[in-house]
Amino acid sequence: MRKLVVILLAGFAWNLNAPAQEANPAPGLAERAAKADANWEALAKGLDAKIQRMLPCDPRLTAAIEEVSQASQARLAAMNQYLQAAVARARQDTETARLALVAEQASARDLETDRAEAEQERIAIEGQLSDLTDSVKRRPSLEEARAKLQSIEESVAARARDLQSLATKRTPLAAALSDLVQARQARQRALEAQLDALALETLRWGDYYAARLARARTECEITNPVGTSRRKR
Amino acid sequence: MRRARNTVILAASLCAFAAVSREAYRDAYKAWRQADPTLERDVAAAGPALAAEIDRVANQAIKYAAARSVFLSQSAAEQERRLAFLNQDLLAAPPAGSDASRIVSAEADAVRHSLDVYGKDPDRGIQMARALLNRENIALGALAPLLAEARKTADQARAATESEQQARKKALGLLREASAMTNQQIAKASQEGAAWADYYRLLADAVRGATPASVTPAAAPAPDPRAPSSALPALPLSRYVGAWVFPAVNGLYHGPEPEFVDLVVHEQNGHADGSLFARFKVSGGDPLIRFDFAGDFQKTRNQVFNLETSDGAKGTIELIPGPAFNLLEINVQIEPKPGRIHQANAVLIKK
Repeated sequence: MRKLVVILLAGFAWNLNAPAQEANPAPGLAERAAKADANWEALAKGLDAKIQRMLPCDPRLTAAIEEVSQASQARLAAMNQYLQAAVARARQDTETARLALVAEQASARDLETDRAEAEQERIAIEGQLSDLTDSVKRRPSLEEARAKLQSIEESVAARARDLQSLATKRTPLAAALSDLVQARQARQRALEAQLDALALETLRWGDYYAARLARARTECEITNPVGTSRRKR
Repeated sequence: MRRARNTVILAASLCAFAAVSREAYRDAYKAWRQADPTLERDVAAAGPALAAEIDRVANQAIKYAAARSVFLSQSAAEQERRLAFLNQDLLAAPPAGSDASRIVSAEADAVRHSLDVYGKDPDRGIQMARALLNRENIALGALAPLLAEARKTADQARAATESEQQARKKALGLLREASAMTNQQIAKASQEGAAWADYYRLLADAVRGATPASVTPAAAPAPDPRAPSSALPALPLSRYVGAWVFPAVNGLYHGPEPEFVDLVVHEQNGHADGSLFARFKVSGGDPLIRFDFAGDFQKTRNQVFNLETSDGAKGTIELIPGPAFNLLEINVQIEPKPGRIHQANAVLIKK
C-alpha cells in the first residue's frame, strides 16, 4: 500500500514537472563546422600542387584559388554560426546554474525551518503524551492509543534527525552548484573570446585570399598582357 | 490491514489537494492543534459522545498530514525540475579545427621563396607581383599569431567544458543522494498521516467501547450532554452531514465519470435531507443530474434515502462513509429514462 502512495506522489510530481528540457539549440552546427573545415583544409593543402603545372593565364588557376577562398569563407561562416549558438547557449547555461544555486541556498534555509517545525511538533506531541499517560491511569483502554502516540512521537523525532542529515547532504550540493556556476562562467568567457578571435581571423583570411587572387591575375598580365586584354574585351 | 486502509485514506486525501503552499500546511497544523488542546485529558472521563469530537480533530490531523505530504512532494518536484539541467549534456564541444597554422606556415614559406626568386628585379610587372606577394606575406604573418591565440582560446573552452562536466556530474551525484532522502521524507510524511488516523481511531474506540471512567468508581457517571439520540446512525453524523464535492483531480468513481458533484446533507432530529447536483462526462444525452432526497437516519453504517430528480424521476442515494473521516462514497440509482443518467458512484471529499 505504501507503494500506492509513492506511485500517486510520483504521478503528482510528474504533473508538476515543467516541460521537457530545451532541445539542443544548435543541432548539427558542430558537425557542419567540422565538415566545412575539413573541406577547406583538403582544398588549401592541395592548392599548390594543383596549380603548379598551370600556365599563369590558365582560367583554372584563378578558379582553383577562388574555390579555396570560398571554402575558407564557408568554413569561417560555419564556425561563426556554431560559436554564436554556443555562446548564446553558454549564457543560458550559466544563468540556469546561477538560478539553481540561488534556489538551492534558499532550500537549505527551508530545511532548517522544517527541522525546527518537526521539533515543535515533537514537543506538542510530548504534551499530548503526558496528558494521555495520565488518562490511561483512569481509563486503561486508552493504552493502545498511548502506545500509538508514543510511536508517532518517535517518528517525528526521527524526522527532525533526518532533516538534519538532509541539510548536511545538501551543503555539498550547494557547493558543487557553485563550482558549476564558476565552470560555466569560465566556459562562456572562453567561447566569447573564441568568437572575437574568429572575427579577426575571418578578416585576415579574406585579406590573404584577395592578395593571392590578385597576384595570380597580375602574373597572368605580366606573362601575357595581350591575352589578358583580349580576355578583358 | 488497518494500516493498509489508512494508507489508502491518506492517498485519497492527497489526490484531493491541488498546489499547497508552506503557509497552507502550517495553517492546517494550527487548525489541528487548536481544534481541541485538552482532548487527551478529556478522554479519561468522557463518554461515547466525545467520539464525534475525536473524529473532528482527526479530520484536522489528516488534513494537515495530507497538506504537508503534498507540499513536500511539490517541493521535491520543483527541485527536480530546477536541477533537471544537470542531466543535460552541453552543446557539443567546439570542433577541434584543421591545422590551419601548418597551412599558413607552408604558404608563408612559399611566399617568401617567391619573394626571394623575384628578388630586386626592376621589371615593373615583377615589382607589381612582388608587392602583392608582400601583401600575402603580411596577411599570413598577421594570421599566425591570431591562429595561435584562437588555438589557445579553443583549448580554454575545451578545458572549461571538461571542468563543467566534472562539476555537473558531481552535483548530479549529490542531487541523487539528496533526492533519495527527500523521497524517504515524503514516504514518512504519508506514514505519519496514517499513524495519526490510527491514533485517533484508537482513541475514539476507547471512548466508544467503555463507560466513562471515574476517579470515584462508586459515583454515578454524569449525564453526557453530547450523548447521541437513539435515531442516530452507528457512525458520527459528521461522516454524512455537510458539503461534499468530487475532487478536481484523481477522483475515484465507477460508471460515468463525474465532471463535478456537489452534495449537501443536513440533519435535524435524526432526519436527513439533502440535495445533489452533478455533471458527468458523457458523449450523448443529458450530462446533468439534480435531485433532492430525505429520510430518517438508521442505526446502520450505510444510509439509504429516497430521492426525486428535478424532472420527477424516483430513485435512491446511498451514503457510504469512506475509509477516512473526510471521504464519503455515494451510490445513486434512478429509474432509467432515455438520455438520462440513471446510476452513479463516486467518492466525495468533504468541502
